[in-house]
Amino acid sequence: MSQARPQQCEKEMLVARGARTGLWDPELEQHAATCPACSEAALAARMLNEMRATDEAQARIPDPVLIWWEAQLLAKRQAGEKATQPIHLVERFACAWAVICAAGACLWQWHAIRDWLGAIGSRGVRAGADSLGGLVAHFTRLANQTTLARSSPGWSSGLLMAGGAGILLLVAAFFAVYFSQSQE
Amino acid sequence: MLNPISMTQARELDRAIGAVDDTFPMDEQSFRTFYEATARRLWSYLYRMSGNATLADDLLQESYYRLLRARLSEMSQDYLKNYLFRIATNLLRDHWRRTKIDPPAPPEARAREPGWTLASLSGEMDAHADLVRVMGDLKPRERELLWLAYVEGSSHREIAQAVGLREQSVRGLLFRARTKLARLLRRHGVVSEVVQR
Repeated sequence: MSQARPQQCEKEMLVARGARTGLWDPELEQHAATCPACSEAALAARMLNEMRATDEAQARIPDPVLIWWEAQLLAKRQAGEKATQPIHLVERFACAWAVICAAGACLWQWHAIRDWLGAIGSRGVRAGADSLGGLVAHFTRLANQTTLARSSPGWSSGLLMAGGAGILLLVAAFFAVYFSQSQE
Repeated sequence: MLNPISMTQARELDRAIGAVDDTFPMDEQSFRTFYEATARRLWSYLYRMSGNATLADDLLQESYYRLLRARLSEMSQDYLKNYLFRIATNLLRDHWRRTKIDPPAPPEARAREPGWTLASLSGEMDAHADLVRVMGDLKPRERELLWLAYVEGSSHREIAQAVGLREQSVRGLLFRARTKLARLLRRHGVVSEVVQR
């Protein structure tokens, strides 16, 4: 006997619902018994719902109160993390900036640092500790100078001003990002 | 140990945490009612799609967490249920993608509850095990489509939203999946007859 190839039928979903719920319209049931597509749909619905019934009887699901409170805790933790994110960003930026400044100062005054390190190497730690006061005094003197240009050659003043302006722009951009994130 | 925080951080935290309660789309009682109506069904879906009861437990909880944090445009039970199954389907996909393993076949047959049986099954004894084998021969997407259509009663549009396909594609794919299921049932001898013209 040749087997008919089932086509799609507009009543399939109705038949599937009947098979799923057991609530059959007599006319629909009659149709399902004769229509290959609906017969397959009914079979699929019965089979899969048999599996679901078995699973539901055995499932051990957690208490809804537990789910509710855990969801609240998770949401609060994430909200807290999101709220403090810009602050942590500023802290990281400040740390990175401090490291860059320290490295820049070391490079700029490397000759003084090298002399101090040399003193430690040649005359011992005690002498190095004594000359540390000299190094500190050197940096203090530099800090007390009224302008950077006084200690720099004339041609580099423009470069220093351009660098300073660039740094100011960078800081301004950073704070703009920070405040936009805070608003979010 | 708790990290010390500044006044600015404390104010930000207070503002953010205060806002959390307003972001949940439902109150606790509504959630409890919805959960009790859907949790077992969702677990069954996750279990049959993943083949792993522990994973189904985890994804069930994660699905509800995400539903609670979602910004929903509608609050009807049908909409919430469909949205929940959509989240669960995406979580399953993410899991398979993350672990870089193929979705497993459905779980092995377990002890079967006595009682109602399929009218068209050829035999009672191994029917359930055979059904599980048949499900294992289906592709994960075919299983998803069939489950959502014939167990959850989702419309083509809802299925399309849940699995990320176009509605027209769902119609064709569902038809092919159902035909394949019927063919497999006949091949495994699970079903003795499907109406023939």
